[in-house]
Amino acid sequence: MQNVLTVCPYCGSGCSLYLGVENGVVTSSSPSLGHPFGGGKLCKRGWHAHEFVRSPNRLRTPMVRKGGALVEASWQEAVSAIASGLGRGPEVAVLGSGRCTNEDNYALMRLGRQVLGTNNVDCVPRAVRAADLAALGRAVGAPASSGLQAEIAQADVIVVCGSETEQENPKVVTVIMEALNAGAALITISPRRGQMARLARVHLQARPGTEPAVIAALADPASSAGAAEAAGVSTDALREAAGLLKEASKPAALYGGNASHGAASSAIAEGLAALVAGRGAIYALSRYANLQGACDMGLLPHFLTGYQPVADAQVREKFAAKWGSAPPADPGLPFWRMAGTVKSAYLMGADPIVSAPDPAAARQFLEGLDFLVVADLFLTEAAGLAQVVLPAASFAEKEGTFTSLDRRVQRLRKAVEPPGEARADWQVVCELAGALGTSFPYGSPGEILEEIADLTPAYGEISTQRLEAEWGMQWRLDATGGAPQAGGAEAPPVSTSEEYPFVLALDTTIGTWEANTMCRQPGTLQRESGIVHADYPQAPPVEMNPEAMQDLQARPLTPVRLLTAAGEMTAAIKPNPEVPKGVLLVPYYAREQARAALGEPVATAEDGAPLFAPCAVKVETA
Amino acid sequence: MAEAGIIAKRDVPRWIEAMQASAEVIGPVAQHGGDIAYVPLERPEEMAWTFWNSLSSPRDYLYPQTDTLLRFGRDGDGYRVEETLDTRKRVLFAVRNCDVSAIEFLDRIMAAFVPDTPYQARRENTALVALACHEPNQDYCMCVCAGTGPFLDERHDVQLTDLGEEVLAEITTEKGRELIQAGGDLFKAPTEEQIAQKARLAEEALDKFGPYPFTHYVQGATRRVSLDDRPPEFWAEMSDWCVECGGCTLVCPTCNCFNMIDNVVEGRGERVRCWDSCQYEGMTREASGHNPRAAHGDRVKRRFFHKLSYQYNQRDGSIGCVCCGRCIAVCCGDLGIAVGSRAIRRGERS
Repeated sequence: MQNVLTVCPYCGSGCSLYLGVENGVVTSSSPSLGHPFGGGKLCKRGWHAHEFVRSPNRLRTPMVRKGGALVEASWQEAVSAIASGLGRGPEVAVLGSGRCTNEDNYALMRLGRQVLGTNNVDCVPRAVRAADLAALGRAVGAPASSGLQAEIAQADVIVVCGSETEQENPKVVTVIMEALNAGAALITISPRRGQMARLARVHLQARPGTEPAVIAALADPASSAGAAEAAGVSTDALREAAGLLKEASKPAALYGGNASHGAASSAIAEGLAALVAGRGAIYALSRYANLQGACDMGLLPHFLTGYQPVADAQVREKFAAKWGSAPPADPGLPFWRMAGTVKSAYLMGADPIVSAPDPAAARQFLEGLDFLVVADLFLTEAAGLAQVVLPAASFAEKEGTFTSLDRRVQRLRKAVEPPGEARADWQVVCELAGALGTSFPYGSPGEILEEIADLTPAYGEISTQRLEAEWGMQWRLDATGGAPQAGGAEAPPVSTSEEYPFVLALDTTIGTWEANTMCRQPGTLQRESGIVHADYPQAPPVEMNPEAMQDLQARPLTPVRLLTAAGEMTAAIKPNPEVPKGVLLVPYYAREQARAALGEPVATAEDGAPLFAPCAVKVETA
Repeated sequence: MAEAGIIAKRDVPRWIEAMQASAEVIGPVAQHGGDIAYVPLERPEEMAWTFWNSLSSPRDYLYPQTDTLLRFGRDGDGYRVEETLDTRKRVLFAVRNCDVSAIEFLDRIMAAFVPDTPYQARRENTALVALACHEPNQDYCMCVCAGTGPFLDERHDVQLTDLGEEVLAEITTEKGRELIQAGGDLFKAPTEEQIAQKARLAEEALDKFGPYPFTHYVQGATRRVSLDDRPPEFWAEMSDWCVECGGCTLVCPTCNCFNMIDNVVEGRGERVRCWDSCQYEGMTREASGHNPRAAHGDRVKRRFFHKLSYQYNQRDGSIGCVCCGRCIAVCCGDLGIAVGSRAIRRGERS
């Protein structure tokens, strides 16, 4: 039995992990005591990271579509098909991954920009985060959390907005609890009275969509009364929280999936950053192990690595000197605006139908492509639409680095061989570049990391040797090229009425992890992930207060129609006393079904994807 | 005292090599991240002598996290089924007495009702060489609360005491005698002084627990848990300090709940046993959708019951917890056995 030290592939916390290997197969996962962030601990997912790696559903051979069906093919055939199928310039796109390594993403970015001549370079999970990350960038200098997660344990006041943190980033709860045990005060802002709220000194049970006003009132207590009324919270509670923050010398502000998935996301990020500016740090929680790295690597239509703008001639010259030719000058299209212009795409390590803010539009976009390549671990829905499917190596089967949500770049180590003919994404991209006439000179991920360090001031001091000796390295916020400058948009207010007395909102608490293929492979995690789908096989759950359910004279699992001015959806009642009487929560994973009721996603910041907003709703038993 | 031998510490690698002629010898080695783990001693001189314990108990060699029990596949018109029993000879070397005690606890569980053949096949072919502790880890160790260490007169096959330049090896069983014999003349008879030194170290170790009061809470909590003496509201509050990572149950050397999966691809497959956790919502969920432990507080209560209840004492002669303290180290929340026991005894979290 060997133990290989690597990094967990699930959320953005970047916990270290030993993979146990027996006879060339991963059989266990366990933590490392020495890691500076929550050493010795892993969450439910981390403890089972080996399960999806050894899943019998792993893709093992390339596949090419012939006569309407995907059939097994050789690598040569697959690469050849891709080389002739992918377009150039504005008609092609490359889409990277929040779960592939920095080296995979960098190689793909270079393929797109240098070889395919396009800036249509993006990362699908970024789409939902574009608005709040842009706001974060404006506030702290780069779109990244401004402190170390471990430092949350030393905060004296912690604000958590839109995050049932024990569900999305459990190790962040570890450090929050350390702070609480040391006497810190926790303030939570969420429509739900969940676990974080019960641990809080002050819980502001704000109606969905009112968070920006509540946050503004925390900074400026004079606006408390109005904010409190709109949000449905007590003015006293709001003033008490504001008082705690005023006295804080080392506050920390955190926001999670429920803040970042909706139309108020950039306002929330901006407001929280302002609340702690000069005194403490702001943290953008993330369910992606390497979304930070994906953005750092320039999987963005207007930035190269480290947020260096493509529009800057000097930056382009610097890359040209290294690459041999320059990337194009005009920023490309973000993922959500590619439909219509982009005709072919290389999609690596992501399923937009699961992770894009607008799954229907994502599906339409993929179906409308003339040529789609998907590289993944499993046959996802997106892969099912592709002309070529490539079997990829998982995190356990390659070297490389991930960058955590607190900018810690850490080394992965290869524990086992990939199954069948699966290959590391960076290797595949290099081979493809060669087939397209440009030789990439990388013999290893270490060499790619060296090039990244040469070209990226923020990553300038990072090398494989330094990562070997230390628990990763955190890049500095002040070493980046800047952030998108567009302003944030106002979140549209939700007004209920006698006809539409409830607020309906999407919520990421239930079922978000469970929608991820890495949580659905044979093993204990699969059983856990299947519960919500076993309980609600057709209509998704709508969480409502048990008294509201009684008022409707309905029972648990009763199907109900949720009717809004835009339309309606069907859901099955899930009574939950944590949810206040006037609020209905439908899981984020069911947003495609919820669209009919919620209406179209609304525009957010100029460079953000349209996101769903809460709306007023009435309920009728079916 | 029991029959014993003395071996120079610098000769221990050679003794290990002698044992490796007929068994895999698994011992504590510092891993890449600095953690101690029990791994096959490919380079015996790398074995660690001064450490707290591993996060993953060496009992995992008897009961792995993922264990293929059967392989099956088509065979012409029929099927072929092949049981994959692991009968490799192993020596678990320099194991702490809390882990030795946990293995004895599992021996009873795995023999009860329907004998667990995969576990027993490994256990029959495994010898236990304990390394007694001189010094408890102040953050984690509580073995005195459960009678599982730091020194024991039974349960192992050999007990080693680190005397500095030399190591005393006490023989507890015939299996243990064979291991000593494998070392041949690397061993000589101990002197009176060396025997007295061991006795002194054993006494002194007992005084090194505390001053933290939590070492006393485990027994205090046992009574309350056995009588089911705390209301549901108490357990609900406790559960707010737990994030259901399952870590406590995954490092606990006495835990043994499991899940079964059949992985089948194109007519061939394997039946795999993998660890489960009573802390996970799905463990007791029934096919109808009903879950007798749907409330998080009920799952937390169940864990403490299983570790501390007298019921196990009456049945097995020991409580379900060997007080190794690993659950404290891995807890993502704040509900390790010590914090939990203190709260149970007091009726509230302090």
